[in-house]
Amino acid sequence: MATRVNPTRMELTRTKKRLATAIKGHKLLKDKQDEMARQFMAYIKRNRELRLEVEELLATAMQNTAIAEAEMGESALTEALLVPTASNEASWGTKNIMSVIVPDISAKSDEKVATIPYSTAFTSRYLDRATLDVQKLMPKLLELASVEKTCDMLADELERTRRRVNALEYVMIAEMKANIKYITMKLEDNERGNLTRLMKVKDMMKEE
Amino acid sequence: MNENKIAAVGDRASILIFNTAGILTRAVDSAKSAEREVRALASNGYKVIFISEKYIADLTDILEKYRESAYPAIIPIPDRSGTMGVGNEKIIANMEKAIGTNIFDK
Repeated sequence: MATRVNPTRMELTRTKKRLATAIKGHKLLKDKQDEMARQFMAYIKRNRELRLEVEELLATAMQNTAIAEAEMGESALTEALLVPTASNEASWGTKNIMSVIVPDISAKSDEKVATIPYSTAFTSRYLDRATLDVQKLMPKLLELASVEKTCDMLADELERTRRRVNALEYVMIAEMKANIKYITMKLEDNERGNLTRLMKVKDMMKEE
Repeated sequence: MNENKIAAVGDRASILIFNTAGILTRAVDSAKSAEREVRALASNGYKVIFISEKYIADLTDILEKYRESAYPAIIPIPDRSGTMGVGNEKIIANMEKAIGTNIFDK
């Protein structure tokens, strides 16, 4: 539906200019959306792989801890695990994916040998296994964190971009095209009216 | 430890093991205390906060607050009773939000 606009040449030129800009903007946004969707697919696939892997290994580690707790008792387990351990070295950067700033975490502990931080004299072997598993899992956990956050942010941005693309395509551009059509027709109609009037006047003058 | 920027929040038995991997652990027993801990950790500059799946549903306010910033990443993890599928649901939700449909097989 065309909104009410002044059917003047000035308005026509203005609307045509705006239409050209809107079409250019729409194309750019559409390209952004396509590229972002492509990158998103790669991230979401990795996210799924990591999640399946991490969840499985974590569940095993936690079950092993539970068995260890059953064998050693709660207080002994807590005591063994309370010892402060080496901190995780990781770099906390950010990167820019289609103007979305996402986290970029890289663990530096890749080659770090997993160690058992407590005395093994009175602890369960299940605890050792759980400890080593969790330490080995750290780089994966960090990657999961960064990939999952990236997916969250990209999904939000993609949704926003899609709305913008649709608004441009189905509302703004359509409306401007309808306006242009309306103004052109109105101007042509006026032109015809003028012409008829002139012919009529000419006839009247001839008769006189 | 200042350079240690990873934390885990959940029930004591499930997260205790993270202590050995250099992750700060905060044991909680209710959704309310989980929310309080996550809020405190996030404002203290923790970059990654792992949280037991069962508490993530009560953290919508905090998740919303940090939605637009790269850090902290608040990530649900399963607890000792196994996964409830929250992580996978999140992946599918993101997928549907971004692409409009779930193209992974169920």
